[in-house]
Amino acid sequence: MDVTAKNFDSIVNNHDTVLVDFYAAWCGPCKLQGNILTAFEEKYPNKFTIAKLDVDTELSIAQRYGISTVPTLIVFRKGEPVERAVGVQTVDKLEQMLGAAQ
Amino acid sequence: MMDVAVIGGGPAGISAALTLRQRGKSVAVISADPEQSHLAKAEKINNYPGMMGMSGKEMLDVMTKQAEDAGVFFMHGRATSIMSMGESFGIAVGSEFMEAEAVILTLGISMGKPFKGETDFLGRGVSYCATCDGMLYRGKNVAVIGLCADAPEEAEFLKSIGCNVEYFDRNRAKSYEIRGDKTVTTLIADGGEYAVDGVFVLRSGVAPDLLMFGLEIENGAIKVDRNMQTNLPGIFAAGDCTGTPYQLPKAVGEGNIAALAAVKYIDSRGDE
Repeated sequence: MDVTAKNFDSIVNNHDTVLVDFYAAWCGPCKLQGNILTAFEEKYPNKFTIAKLDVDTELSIAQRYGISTVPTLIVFRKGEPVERAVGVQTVDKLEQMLGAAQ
Repeated sequence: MMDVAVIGGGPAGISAALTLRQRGKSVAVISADPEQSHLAKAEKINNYPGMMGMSGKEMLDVMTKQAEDAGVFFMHGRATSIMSMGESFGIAVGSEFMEAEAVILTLGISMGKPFKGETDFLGRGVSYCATCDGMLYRGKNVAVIGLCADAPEEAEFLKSIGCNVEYFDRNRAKSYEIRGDKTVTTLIADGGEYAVDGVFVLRSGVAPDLLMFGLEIENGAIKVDRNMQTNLPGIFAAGDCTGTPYQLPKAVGEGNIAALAAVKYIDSRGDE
């Protein structure tokens, strides 16, 4: 799902665990990450909450979390960032990140 | 989706692409900077059968034309990341994305050691991709170390979106060091200090194990078996990037072997 500054706080606070993909439209590796996330969601249908945030249009949220490169993935647990990964992540790494958070 | 993506448009890559076309596979060759390839800079090559006393550039032009005529699709850009997406591989090329069932790495010789501090601050102020990360540095000071043909264009892009760019071309400094705390704060170029929030290091290519996570490297070269298969199924490598000798006939031969192995890999998956 796409998140914006308007619904970001409610999404991360109302779900136990949320993975946020900070991306940009001009970023090739971000597109790759997007496809990997889709493959991950197909592997685990409806099991995890995965959200995408466009750092270009939602710069305030990106700045809040000190995003300095894209893609950056952050796992939020009860609204707090608990784990961060910079650069494209594999399906294995995603499993690790989300398993570890739970 | 392509059957095969070939990363690198030198002789190994072109040889692989020609064999793939001959076997009826669709192939895209991704190449950033052919003018910077070692072959393009060779003055004269006398040990390649059938092409006597030609310059490296002449040979590369002839080979490229042959591949284009054979229906090889050439994509200009720098591959920055390759990853498995399950049934296929995704490849980030500049700001674009492509998908292929198999990948042949024909990267050439690796592009030199990282600068001091470069790896430490990767993702924390050091970036290899201006289009990806540029907007995060709007209004900030960035250094661009331009070591490839596209670098000036990428520096202009950063300026156009509002970054304050300090540009270093090949000749401006010999040694660089990147320093900072949680993120980059300073670039030292030949002893001169520049206060920066980010450093974009733009080379022709990305190191093989950064390009493809989990790729096995041995003695600075991509490890392959006799079929040019790497440790990752569906990923093959050929030419200078698999190690010595750095010779044109060797690169062309390995490209052919890698292509045949990739065909076998794809066809065997089709039977499943």
